[in-house]
Amino acid sequence: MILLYFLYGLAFEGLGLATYLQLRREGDFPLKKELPWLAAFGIVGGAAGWVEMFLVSGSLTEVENALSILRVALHLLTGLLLLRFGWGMLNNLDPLPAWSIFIPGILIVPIAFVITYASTTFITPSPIEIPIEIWTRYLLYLPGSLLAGIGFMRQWYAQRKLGLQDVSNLMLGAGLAFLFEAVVMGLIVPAAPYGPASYYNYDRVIHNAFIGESIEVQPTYGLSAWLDYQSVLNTTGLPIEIWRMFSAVIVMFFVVKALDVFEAIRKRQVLDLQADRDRAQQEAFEAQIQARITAENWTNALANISRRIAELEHVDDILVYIVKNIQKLLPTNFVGVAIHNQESSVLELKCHGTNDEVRLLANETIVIQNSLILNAMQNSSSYCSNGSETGKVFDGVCFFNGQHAHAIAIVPLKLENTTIGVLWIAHSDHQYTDTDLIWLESMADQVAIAIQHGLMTSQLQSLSIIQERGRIAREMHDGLAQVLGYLNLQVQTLGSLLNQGKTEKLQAELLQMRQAIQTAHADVRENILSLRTTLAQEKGLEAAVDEYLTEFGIQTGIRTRFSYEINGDLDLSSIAEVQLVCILQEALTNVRKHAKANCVDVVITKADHRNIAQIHMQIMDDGVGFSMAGSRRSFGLQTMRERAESVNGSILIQSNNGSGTIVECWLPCLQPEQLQKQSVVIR
Amino acid sequence: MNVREWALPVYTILMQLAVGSLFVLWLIRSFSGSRFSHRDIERIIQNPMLVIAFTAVVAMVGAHFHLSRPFHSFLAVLNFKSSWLSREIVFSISFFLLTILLLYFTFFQMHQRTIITILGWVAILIGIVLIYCMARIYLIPTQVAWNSTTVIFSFYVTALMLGCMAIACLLVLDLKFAEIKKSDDVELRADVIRYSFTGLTGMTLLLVALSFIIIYIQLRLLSQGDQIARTSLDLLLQLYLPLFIMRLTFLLFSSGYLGTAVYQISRLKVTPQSLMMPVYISCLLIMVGEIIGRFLFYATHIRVGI
Repeated sequence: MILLYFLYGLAFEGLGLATYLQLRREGDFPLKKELPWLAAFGIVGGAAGWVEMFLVSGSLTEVENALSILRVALHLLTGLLLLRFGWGMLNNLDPLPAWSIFIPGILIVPIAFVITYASTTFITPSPIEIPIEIWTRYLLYLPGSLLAGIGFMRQWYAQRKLGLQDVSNLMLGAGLAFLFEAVVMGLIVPAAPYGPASYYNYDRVIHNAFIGESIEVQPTYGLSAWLDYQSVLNTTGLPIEIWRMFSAVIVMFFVVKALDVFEAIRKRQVLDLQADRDRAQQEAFEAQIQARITAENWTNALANISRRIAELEHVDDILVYIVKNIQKLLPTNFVGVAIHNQESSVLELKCHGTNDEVRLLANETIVIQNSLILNAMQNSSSYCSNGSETGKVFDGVCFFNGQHAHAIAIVPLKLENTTIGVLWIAHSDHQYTDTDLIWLESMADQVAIAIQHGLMTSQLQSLSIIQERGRIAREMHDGLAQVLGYLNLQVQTLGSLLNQGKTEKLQAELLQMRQAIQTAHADVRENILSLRTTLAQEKGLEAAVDEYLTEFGIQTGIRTRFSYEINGDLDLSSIAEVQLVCILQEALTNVRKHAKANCVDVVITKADHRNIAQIHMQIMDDGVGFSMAGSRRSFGLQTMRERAESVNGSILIQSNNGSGTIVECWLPCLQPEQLQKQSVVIR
Repeated sequence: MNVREWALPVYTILMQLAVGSLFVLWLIRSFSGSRFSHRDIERIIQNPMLVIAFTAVVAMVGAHFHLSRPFHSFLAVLNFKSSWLSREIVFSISFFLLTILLLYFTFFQMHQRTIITILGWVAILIGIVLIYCMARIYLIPTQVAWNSTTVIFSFYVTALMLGCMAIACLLVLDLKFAEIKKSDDVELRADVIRYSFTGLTGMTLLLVALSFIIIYIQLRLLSQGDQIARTSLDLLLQLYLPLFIMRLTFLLFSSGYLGTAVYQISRLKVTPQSLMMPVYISCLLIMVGEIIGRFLFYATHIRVGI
């Protein structure tokens, strides 16, 4: 028996020690918080067993009373520690369901009755240690073991759900071990005159209340004495201490094994976390690279578009280029550019891009009627679908590709705070993000800038004509001012000569005045003719030059011949046309003023000169000619040369005294791709 | 005592608990009408009503175990005109049925406020009569220790004391539950506790004082009684003295503990959720004290004659 109690105490001490060693592990595993209570339970329970051993041995009779009290105290403490461990296992590892808050309330009445019943049994004549031990086991060991068992069962379920089969099996083993411990340590008690360990006869309660344990039990309701030490020994052949020792060993085994597995799982989880972290870092790095590449692509595209605009490429070409870039940089099934037609107040599709082509709509009119696009135009606000739109809301978004859109991003085209159109992209399933919309807005800005430059180029042509008109008007004004000033002085001179009676000198001065007036008259008439010719640009160069020469001939009396030998288009820029006319006017002015010619021929042809198609104008007169060096006409010649060179042309003047003058002017034609056709976008 | 003997304390305690709880709950319901909306109050009393009905059911079931032939219990109602026991059973059944009906209206006919009010007060009236019948069973000359009007008063005091503590415990548990579930009426429940707990605690303290007075009177009566009365007194003060002291200690401690906690709520603005431990401990100790008292009531009587 002494050996039995020694081994009994050793088993519990082993449980306590093994649990304590697990506490020293690193890491934060779920069970760690509750292990101190289990370790304490084992150590104190082992101490209680060894005290029992000394009591049974009878070797320390002088301290037997103290040992009895110590045993009772250790017994109580062991039960409290087990109860605390069980409560921690049940409640602290995983939160209990909300309805469990009512369990203490529901159990308050049964608990009160049990406490009262327990209290009443203490007044029996039997030794006080018996009810203490019995109620310690019923009220502390039993619920503590049950709670611990249920707690481990919950852990079994939780670990199974996480897929940790090895740990869950160990949790199940520990749970069953504690349930076994609940029976052997909490239910099996010393024989006593009260239930449920033994049943006490009803009749004896009146006269023999709480006499002692030697009462012969008379079973009622079929109950008999059970769950006491003797019945266990009779049934199993082993004393209860052996079974309690087994329960301690089994609990220790499963708890230690479970902690080993937890440690392995913890390490595995740390490795998994590290791998996840590395993977996340790698993904973040790749995402950064991708974002940078995307930003670079967009920057390059926008820079290329800006360069083309700065180089004054045709606005339609720039628009096509923009649409192609949008197709490359954003997922699209359709790209559309529509401009608002102010005359008909409709939104017309001007350019579109599908998976197959990018095209301008030059000869057909497609009116946009989709409500989303029209709303964006009217409200001058961007719009991006979010996937919640259904049905016909995307009708009339895509054209020419037969696809139906399920996502759209729309951006208004704004020119000087006025919305002139919209740019939109559509896709059959990809949903656009706010980032896509921002990029699209930057493209829309480029479209607006390109349109603005196109408008400014048209205005530039008109401005050249207006500037030339202004120059002629200033010349006319300056010339007239000079002549009038000269005439004013001459009149005063005439007055003086008249007073002095110098009739011959008076006639000479009058003759000079007449010549000056005639010259000024001719100049004014020429300038007026120049103005009319400049204004007549809309009629075409041939008609304008022909009309000018005819009028020149009438005014000056010089016979003019004009030959226009160009078939087809002139292929000159508008500025070059203006300069050509000005050069002609300057040359004819020189003819009028200095050549004393009878006839002047003007020929305009197109020929290759220095391997470039050029317009060749030749002005030939039969006048007196002039010496190239030191000529009074050098300023006018310089002006002609500057005009020609301003449009990449050249001048050649040939003249000799007495042999007339030939003025030849070459102006380069526009290349085929530079031909100034009418823009589809700007009309 | 064996199982059959314990069935009587179970039945009487639980039935008095049910009656007392219903009375206290109805007082709260009536006085809260001016401060809270009817709908809120009806919602708050649902869970306590469920517990009261369940307690009445358990009491009715437990009552059968003190009979030697439980399946013949229906025969006990046949002597209503002459037997307090029959009257007790009839009024028990009536109270039980009214409680079940009240439960139905509370959960499924919440809008029928007038009917609920009337039903509640009728059930309380039946319960009051029931407790009187319970007590009158013991007022017979052969049961010397029981033959005193103090028994009637002690039964009523027990009922009210248990009712106060049970309702207090249920309100706090409900609040805790609502908090865990993140319900939208947490503040409402806390307000009801703040509003009602001062009254509940005051009533409990008053009832504990009344208990002591009744105990003193009973001891005086026993000491001044005949031989059998004095034998009962000796049993109480000798064999059962530890239990008697336990009872008094539990009553005093729990009332002091609860009073302190409620004072902190009202003065220091501590949240009502912190009342859970003091209310539960106090409720448990008062219940243990009253069950011990009922055990002593049965254990100390000496029967005269057969």
